[in-house]
Amino acid sequence: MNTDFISEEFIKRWEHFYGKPRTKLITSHLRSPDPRIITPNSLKIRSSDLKRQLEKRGFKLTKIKDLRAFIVETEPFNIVSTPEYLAGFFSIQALSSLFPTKCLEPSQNTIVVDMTASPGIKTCFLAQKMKNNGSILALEISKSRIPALKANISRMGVSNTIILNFDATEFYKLNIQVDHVLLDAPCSGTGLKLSKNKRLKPRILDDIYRQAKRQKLLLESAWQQLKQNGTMIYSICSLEPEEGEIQISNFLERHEEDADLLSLPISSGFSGADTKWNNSSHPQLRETRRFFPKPGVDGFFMALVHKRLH
Amino acid sequence: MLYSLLTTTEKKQVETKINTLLGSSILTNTFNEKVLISLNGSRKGIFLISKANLDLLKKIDSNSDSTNCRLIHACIKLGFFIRDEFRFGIESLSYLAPLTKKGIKLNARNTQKFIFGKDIEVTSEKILLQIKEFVESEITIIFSDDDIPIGFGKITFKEKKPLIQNLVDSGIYIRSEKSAF
Repeated sequence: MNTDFISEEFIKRWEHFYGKPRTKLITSHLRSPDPRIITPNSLKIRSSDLKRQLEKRGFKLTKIKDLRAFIVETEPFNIVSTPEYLAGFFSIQALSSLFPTKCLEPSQNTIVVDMTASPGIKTCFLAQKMKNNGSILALEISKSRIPALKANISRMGVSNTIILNFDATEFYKLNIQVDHVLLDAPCSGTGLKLSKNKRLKPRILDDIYRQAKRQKLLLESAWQQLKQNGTMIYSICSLEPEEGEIQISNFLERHEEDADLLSLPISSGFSGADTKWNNSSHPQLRETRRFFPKPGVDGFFMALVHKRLH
Repeated sequence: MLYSLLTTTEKKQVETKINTLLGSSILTNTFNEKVLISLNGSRKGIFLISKANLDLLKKIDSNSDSTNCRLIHACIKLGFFIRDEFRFGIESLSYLAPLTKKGIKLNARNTQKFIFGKDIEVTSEKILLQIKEFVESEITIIFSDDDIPIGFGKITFKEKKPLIQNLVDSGIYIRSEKSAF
């Protein structure tokens, strides 16, 4: 991969936020290829049975510690053409996609909204956690992204989900109170590996500010409909604090009376409070997590917000 | 209105087709706890939804007037109506397969052929034995040799040669994700 692919503008910003040594690591990992990672679908199969079935077909899988996922070490043919994939026994995704749903604990009869659902991998993880009970509202604004969402939901045997082609910034208009919110927000995507992200060079700073504005609208719309004592996970696959640390810091200031950050049940990553930006950060920002790119993991940011009981 | 309830005639047709496919009324017996609804569109999609989720849908429906909200999918898609005839959709496969008493199991070579969208000319003794259970034009669920549901087939006996006609198979998820859904 051409090293000039990442624009100087972004490299300078990252050096400012994270320091030079870290930026060197970021750019090197962004250029490295990702291993294929698969996650068994607990609605349909046990991990051990999936491993046995795929190994019978010549695939070699290695279990990832502490996660219900495997690295595909040997792939004699494309794994998506196996009957197991087509029958929804597993999904393929980056490790970073597993973390946001790991942080929500929906009980089986709750209502959860996935604000920007397509392609639906995280929606499927939620359904697995809820054992297909309760309700998931999967919202997707883009008509062209709906087929992938529908295909994943049905392939994976998800049966508790309602899909709406709808602008989630208007979610409050539907007047549905929800117990949990999954907001994996649209973002500039600067944390994505270059193999799946051709956007770093043509992207300009304006794009970050544009995405940050939309993220703010999504956060507000979701917050308005979140029940008291409910939780909202916010995540982005961006390395830009305007979309992560600054966004959440500002959100906490706007909602001082009812919002708290909760500790994330994930030991890896760095505290969002370590990111250096000009303004002083909100004291609760230490509870957020900033992840830098590494093999199998995109660069991303997460915060778990709790709505206080009054 | 984002959805409508099925008419008695439509409901009866869906129930009959499901009972024939499954070889029992195990699913339709639960239809007092769940509701069949249809979404309007070029293909009239038929969905099975719990009463709790229908209540949620009613609430969305009553508040969606001032928005551009479009209902795309509601819990379990069983199939769709084309020219007043109900057909099973691939989306219902994983829901219906564990409930069926009938079905045809293919060997590895025919499984591969079937998920590539092909019909299966039945020559093997093993499949011929299974086919004896079925009547002309009967629809059934097709499984791989390790019991993975791979699609819906129609049994025909063209010039007395049995054929499993591929109605829809799970290969559609990679062949035509965009057009199929």
